[in-house]
Amino acid sequence: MRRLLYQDEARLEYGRLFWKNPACKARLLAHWQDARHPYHERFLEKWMPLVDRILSASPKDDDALDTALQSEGLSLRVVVKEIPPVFGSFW
Amino acid sequence: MPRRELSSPQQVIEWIHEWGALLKAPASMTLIGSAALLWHAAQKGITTSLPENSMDANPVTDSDELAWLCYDAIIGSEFEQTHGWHINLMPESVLKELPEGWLGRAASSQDGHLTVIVPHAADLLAPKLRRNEPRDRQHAAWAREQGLI
Repeated sequence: MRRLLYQDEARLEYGRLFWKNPACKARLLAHWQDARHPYHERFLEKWMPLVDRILSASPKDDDALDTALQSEGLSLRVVVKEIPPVFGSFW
Repeated sequence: MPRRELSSPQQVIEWIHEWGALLKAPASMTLIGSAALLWHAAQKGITTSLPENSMDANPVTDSDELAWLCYDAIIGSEFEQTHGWHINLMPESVLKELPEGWLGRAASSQDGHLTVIVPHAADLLAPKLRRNEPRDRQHAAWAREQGLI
Protein backbone atom coordinates (compact mmCIF):
# COMPACT_ATOMS: atom_id res chain seq x y z
CA MET A 1 0.00 0.00 0.00
CA ARG A 2 1.35 3.41 -0.92
CA ARG A 3 2.31 5.62 1.99
CA LEU A 4 -0.54 7.51 3.67
CA LEU A 5 -0.34 11.01 5.09
CA TYR A 6 0.31 10.94 8.84
CA GLN A 7 -3.12 12.34 9.61
CA ASP A 8 -4.79 9.63 7.53
CA GLU A 9 -2.60 6.97 9.08
CA ALA A 10 -3.46 8.21 12.57
CA ARG A 11 -7.22 7.98 11.88
CA LEU A 12 -6.71 4.38 10.73
CA GLU A 13 -4.39 3.34 13.57
CA TYR A 14 -6.39 4.88 16.40
CA GLY A 15 -9.70 4.10 14.77
CA ARG A 16 -8.71 0.43 14.87
CA LEU A 17 -7.71 0.77 18.51
CA PHE A 18 -11.09 2.26 19.43
CA TRP A 19 -13.07 -0.13 17.22
CA LYS A 20 -12.27 -2.98 19.62
CA ASN A 21 -14.17 -1.19 22.39
CA PRO A 22 -17.95 -1.19 21.79
CA ALA A 23 -18.52 2.05 23.70
CA CYS A 24 -15.75 3.88 21.82
CA LYS A 25 -16.98 2.51 18.50
CA ALA A 26 -20.53 3.62 19.28
CA ARG A 27 -19.41 7.14 20.17
CA LEU A 28 -17.37 7.48 16.99
CA LEU A 29 -20.24 6.24 14.83
CA ALA A 30 -22.66 8.62 16.54
CA HIS A 31 -20.26 11.53 15.97
CA TRP A 32 -19.76 10.71 12.30
CA GLN A 33 -23.52 10.41 11.74
CA ASP A 34 -24.31 13.60 13.62
CA ALA A 35 -26.09 16.13 11.40
CA ARG A 36 -23.51 18.71 12.49
CA HIS A 37 -20.71 16.63 10.99
CA PRO A 38 -19.90 18.02 7.52
CA TYR A 39 -19.31 14.53 6.12
CA HIS A 40 -22.26 12.74 7.71
CA GLU A 41 -24.24 12.44 4.48
CA ARG A 42 -21.49 10.83 2.42
CA PHE A 43 -20.58 8.60 5.35
CA LEU A 44 -24.15 7.33 5.67
CA GLU A 45 -24.77 7.11 1.94
CA LYS A 46 -21.70 5.14 1.00
CA TRP A 47 -18.72 4.86 3.27
CA MET A 48 -19.91 3.52 6.62
CA PRO A 49 -19.71 -0.21 5.76
CA LEU A 50 -16.34 0.22 4.11
CA VAL A 51 -14.90 2.23 7.02
CA ASP A 52 -16.24 -0.42 9.39
CA ARG A 53 -14.56 -3.10 7.29
CA ILE A 54 -11.10 -1.51 7.39
CA LEU A 55 -11.31 -0.54 11.05
CA SER A 56 -12.34 -4.10 11.93
CA ALA A 57 -9.33 -5.51 10.06
CA SER A 58 -5.91 -6.27 11.50
CA PRO A 59 -2.90 -4.29 10.27
CA LYS A 60 -1.17 -7.53 9.30
CA ASP A 61 -3.90 -8.13 6.73
CA ASP A 62 -3.58 -4.71 5.09
CA ASP A 63 -1.95 -5.98 1.90
CA ALA A 64 -4.70 -8.53 1.33
CA LEU A 65 -7.35 -5.97 2.28
CA ASP A 66 -5.89 -3.48 -0.20
CA THR A 67 -5.89 -6.13 -2.94
CA ALA A 68 -9.51 -7.02 -2.19
CA LEU A 69 -10.56 -3.37 -2.23
CA GLN A 70 -8.74 -2.80 -5.49
CA SER A 71 -10.74 -5.64 -7.06
CA GLU A 72 -13.81 -3.61 -6.06
CA GLY A 73 -12.51 -0.47 -7.73
CA LEU A 74 -11.28 1.03 -4.46
CA SER A 75 -8.12 0.81 -2.34
CA LEU A 76 -7.19 0.90 1.31
CA ARG A 77 -5.81 4.40 0.78
CA VAL A 78 -9.13 5.60 -0.70
CA VAL A 79 -11.20 4.16 2.15
CA VAL A 80 -8.83 5.45 4.83
CA LYS A 81 -9.34 8.96 3.50
CA GLU A 82 -13.07 8.46 4.09
CA ILE A 83 -12.63 7.80 7.82
CA PRO A 84 -14.25 11.00 9.05
CA PRO A 85 -12.31 13.37 11.29
CA VAL A 86 -13.46 14.20 14.79
CA PHE A 87 -14.61 17.74 15.50
CA GLY A 88 -13.88 18.80 19.05
CA SER A 89 -16.71 21.31 19.20
CA PHE A 90 -19.37 18.56 19.31
CA TRP A 91 -17.35 15.44 20.12
CA MET B 1 -8.73 28.64 13.61
CA PRO B 2 -6.79 26.54 16.12
CA ARG B 3 -5.30 28.43 19.01
CA ARG B 4 -1.54 28.67 19.24
CA GLU B 5 -0.64 29.23 22.87
CA LEU B 6 1.76 26.39 23.74
CA SER B 7 5.05 28.04 24.57
CA SER B 8 6.31 27.30 28.06
CA PRO B 9 7.86 24.20 29.63
CA GLN B 10 5.45 24.49 32.54
CA GLN B 11 2.43 24.02 30.29
CA VAL B 12 3.71 20.61 29.19
CA ILE B 13 4.49 19.49 32.74
CA GLU B 14 1.08 20.59 33.98
CA TRP B 15 -0.65 18.70 31.16
CA ILE B 16 1.30 15.52 31.88
CA HIS B 17 0.56 15.81 35.58
CA GLU B 18 -3.15 16.36 34.88
CA TRP B 19 -3.40 13.27 32.69
CA GLY B 20 -1.22 11.12 34.93
CA ALA B 21 -3.88 11.62 37.59
CA LEU B 22 -6.80 11.06 35.18
CA LEU B 23 -5.66 7.71 33.79
CA LYS B 24 -7.24 4.66 35.42
CA ALA B 25 -4.53 2.27 34.23
CA PRO B 26 -0.83 2.56 33.34
CA ALA B 27 -0.20 4.02 29.91
CA SER B 28 2.77 5.36 28.06
CA MET B 29 3.26 7.87 25.32
CA THR B 30 6.21 8.92 23.23
CA LEU B 31 6.23 12.68 22.92
CA ILE B 32 7.74 14.38 19.88
CA GLY B 33 7.80 17.85 18.40
CA SER B 34 7.88 21.19 20.19
CA ALA B 35 6.14 19.86 23.31
CA ALA B 36 8.95 17.34 23.68
CA LEU B 37 11.56 20.10 23.48
CA LEU B 38 9.63 21.95 26.19
CA TRP B 39 9.61 18.76 28.29
CA HIS B 40 13.43 18.63 28.11
CA ALA B 41 13.59 22.28 29.12
CA ALA B 42 11.36 21.59 32.10
CA GLN B 43 13.66 18.74 33.24
CA LYS B 44 16.50 21.26 33.38
CA GLY B 45 14.41 23.80 35.30
CA ILE B 46 14.32 26.11 32.30
CA THR B 47 11.33 28.45 32.17
CA THR B 48 12.15 30.27 28.93
CA SER B 49 9.37 30.07 26.36
CA LEU B 50 9.71 28.99 22.75
CA PRO B 51 10.42 31.86 20.33
CA GLU B 52 7.29 30.96 18.39
CA ASN B 53 4.25 29.34 19.96
CA SER B 54 2.96 25.93 18.98
CA MET B 55 -0.67 24.96 18.52
CA ASP B 56 -0.35 21.32 19.54
CA ALA B 57 1.45 18.54 21.36
CA ASN B 58 2.22 15.38 19.41
CA PRO B 59 2.10 12.10 21.30
CA VAL B 60 2.22 8.52 20.04
CA THR B 61 0.60 5.83 22.17
CA ASP B 62 -0.74 2.28 22.06
CA SER B 63 -3.03 2.82 25.04
CA ASP B 64 -6.70 3.12 24.10
CA GLU B 65 -7.46 4.99 27.32
CA LEU B 66 -4.72 7.56 26.64
CA ALA B 67 -5.65 7.82 22.96
CA TRP B 68 -9.24 8.50 23.99
CA LEU B 69 -8.06 11.37 26.22
CA CYS B 70 -6.19 12.69 23.17
CA TYR B 71 -9.34 12.57 21.07
CA ASP B 72 -11.10 14.57 23.79
CA ALA B 73 -8.35 17.19 23.45
CA ILE B 74 -8.58 17.67 19.69
CA ILE B 75 -9.02 21.00 17.82
CA GLY B 76 -12.24 22.70 18.97
CA SER B 77 -12.42 20.76 22.23
CA GLU B 78 -12.92 22.02 25.73
CA PHE B 79 -9.26 21.11 26.34
CA GLU B 80 -8.22 23.54 23.62
CA GLN B 81 -10.50 26.22 25.03
CA THR B 82 -8.98 25.77 28.48
CA HIS B 83 -5.32 25.31 27.54
CA GLY B 84 -5.00 27.36 24.33
CA TRP B 85 -3.55 24.40 22.38
CA HIS B 86 -4.65 20.91 21.45
CA ILE B 87 -3.43 17.34 21.16
CA ASN B 88 -2.58 15.94 17.72
CA LEU B 89 -2.18 12.18 18.02
CA MET B 90 0.44 10.84 15.65
CA PRO B 91 0.77 7.33 14.19
CA GLU B 92 3.57 5.09 15.35
CA SER B 93 5.23 5.28 11.93
CA VAL B 94 6.20 8.90 12.60
CA LEU B 95 8.85 7.57 14.97
CA LYS B 96 10.67 6.15 11.94
CA GLU B 97 11.56 9.75 11.07
CA LEU B 98 13.81 9.84 14.12
CA PRO B 99 17.49 8.86 13.83
CA GLU B 100 18.28 5.21 14.30
CA GLY B 101 18.82 4.24 17.92
CA TRP B 102 16.69 7.11 19.24
CA LEU B 103 15.03 4.94 21.87
CA GLY B 104 18.37 4.17 23.48
CA ARG B 105 19.02 7.89 23.87
CA ALA B 106 15.52 8.80 25.06
CA ALA B 107 14.64 10.07 28.51
CA SER B 108 11.48 9.29 30.41
CA SER B 109 9.35 10.38 33.33
CA GLN B 110 6.54 8.86 35.35
CA ASP B 111 3.60 10.90 36.59
CA GLY B 112 0.79 8.91 38.18
CA HIS B 113 -0.21 6.27 35.65
CA LEU B 114 1.48 8.08 32.77
CA THR B 115 4.94 7.18 31.49
CA VAL B 116 6.32 9.74 29.06
CA ILE B 117 9.14 8.74 26.72
CA VAL B 118 10.92 11.64 25.10
CA PRO B 119 13.61 11.29 22.43
CA HIS B 120 16.82 13.20 22.98
CA ALA B 121 16.55 16.82 21.83
CA ALA B 122 19.04 16.23 19.00
CA ASP B 123 16.89 13.34 17.75
CA LEU B 124 13.73 15.46 18.00
CA LEU B 125 15.33 18.17 15.91
CA ALA B 126 16.49 15.87 13.11
CA PRO B 127 13.12 15.73 11.27
CA LYS B 128 12.53 19.42 11.99
CA LEU B 129 15.82 20.40 10.41
CA ARG B 130 15.07 18.20 7.42
CA ARG B 131 11.84 20.16 7.01
CA ASN B 132 13.92 23.33 7.54
CA GLU B 133 11.05 25.81 7.80
CA PRO B 134 11.77 29.09 9.64
CA ARG B 135 9.92 27.89 12.72
CA ASP B 136 11.97 24.69 12.77
CA ARG B 137 15.22 26.66 12.62
CA GLN B 138 13.99 28.93 15.41
CA HIS B 139 13.22 25.95 17.61
CA ALA B 140 16.63 24.43 16.89
CA ALA B 141 18.31 27.72 17.81
CA TRP B 142 16.23 27.90 21.00
CA ALA B 143 17.24 24.34 21.93
CA ARG B 144 20.90 25.25 21.46
CA GLU B 145 20.54 28.45 23.50
CA GLN B 146 18.88 26.52 26.34
CA GLY B 147 21.65 23.91 26.33
CA LEU B 148 19.38 21.05 25.25
CA ILE B 149 21.87 20.09 22.52
